[in-house]
Amino acid sequence: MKEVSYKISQKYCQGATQAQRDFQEALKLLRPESEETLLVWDFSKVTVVTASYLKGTLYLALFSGMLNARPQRDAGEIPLGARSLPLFTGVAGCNEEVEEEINEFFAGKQMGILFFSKKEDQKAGVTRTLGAIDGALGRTLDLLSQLKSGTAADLAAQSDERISLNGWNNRLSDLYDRRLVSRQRAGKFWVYSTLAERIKSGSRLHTR
Amino acid sequence: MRLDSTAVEALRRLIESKGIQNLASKKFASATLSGALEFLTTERIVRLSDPATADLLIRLVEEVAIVSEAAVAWGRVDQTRLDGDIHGIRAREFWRIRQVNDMTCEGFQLFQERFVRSAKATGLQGKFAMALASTFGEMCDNVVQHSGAISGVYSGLAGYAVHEGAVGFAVCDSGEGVYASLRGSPSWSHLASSREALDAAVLHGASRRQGHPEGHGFKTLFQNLVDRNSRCRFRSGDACLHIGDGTAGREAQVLSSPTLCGLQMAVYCHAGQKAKEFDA
Repeated sequence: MKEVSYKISQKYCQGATQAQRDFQEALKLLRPESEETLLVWDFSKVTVVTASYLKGTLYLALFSGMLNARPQRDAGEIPLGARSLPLFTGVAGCNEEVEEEINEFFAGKQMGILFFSKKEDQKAGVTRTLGAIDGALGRTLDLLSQLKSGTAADLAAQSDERISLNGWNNRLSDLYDRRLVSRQRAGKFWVYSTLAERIKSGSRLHTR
Repeated sequence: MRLDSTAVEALRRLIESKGIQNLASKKFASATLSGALEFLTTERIVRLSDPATADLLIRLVEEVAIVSEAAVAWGRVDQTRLDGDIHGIRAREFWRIRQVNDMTCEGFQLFQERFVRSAKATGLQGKFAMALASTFGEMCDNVVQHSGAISGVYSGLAGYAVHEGAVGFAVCDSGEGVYASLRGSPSWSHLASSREALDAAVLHGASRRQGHPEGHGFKTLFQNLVDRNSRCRFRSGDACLHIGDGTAGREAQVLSSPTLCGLQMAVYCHAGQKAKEFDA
């Protein structure tokens, strides 16, 4: 999978106008748009961010990827400006205030987003999820992270949880729909992979 | 005489009742930030239909520096070149919002940075000052997103002022106003007046965007301001909404106001006491 980083250049990120500009700029990194891409929004220069900005950037990017994974959705559910893109979205470089704002924003949307540790901290760092991720999905993501990649059968063999193979398939498929893992077809099975070396579901922060 | 938002409302009532000539010999000696911005919006609108009354209004404030500074800023062609230290603190400063680039350019970021430094220098805590900067930015963005442009040009002016522990910031425009803006949305077409529209936009997050009937801008404002000794004023059409003016938390008073198009918003905060409008 192609991986690109969009470095947000401003310190104060607010409003739909800035968001629209940054979203368009970030999309330029995806060309050609047919290729599966992990787009990491680098917040290392950002001091404060507002919900309006997140709605016009991260939410739109994440939802565009989700539309690609599962195109059949209620029209009212699709945010204005979202379109199907083979896109996975994450964030990096957030200070604590920015992390908290992103965490609360996505918790309110019942969505999760990956918070990557910085490249230079990759060995020591653990990628977290911000926002809301259901306990069963969180455990599935953590288990897949231990394996790096695997099928539903691989996870079933590794776990003590007594759920059917179909249940594991559903969980993995749900994680893919939410753009928290990638997948590739291998014969008649899907092989799922995490988007970072080490993932631990859940934020360091407590969602209010 | 001080030109505050109440005085500007009184001026508009006098204009409506044709009694403004009675003030011909008077002069305002000072102005608050919101007074200056609401005054300039009033003068701009009056000038379209009655230049003589607009001239009289200008004579009333010719000794008030903040009004002339704001007027100059509103008419500025190029605001990328500023006099003085671009990082330095200011007692007051203005930023006109005429095009999309005014919200996305580096100059606007520097304007916000100076706002934060100035607020901190007068005694506000750093985190609170930065939260205010994002609130201020949301209010400015509202001009581009909702006021409506004429031939691609917006009519916004933003400003801040600091004085002895107090910080004020305000944004005005002479655009279509909250009622007309929301009436264009199927989700809010049932609104029947500016009062209802202001209440819906400020207190319930109403937004005209299709597919996004609820906006985040005012939520950010309240998140950052509630229980912080703050005082907010929102004015559009013939309605005015006050928060923190004898009220607690998000409790609001919706009042009537002599008609003026566009939306005018002001926020006052104080480092240690209940905020009020102050001479800027």
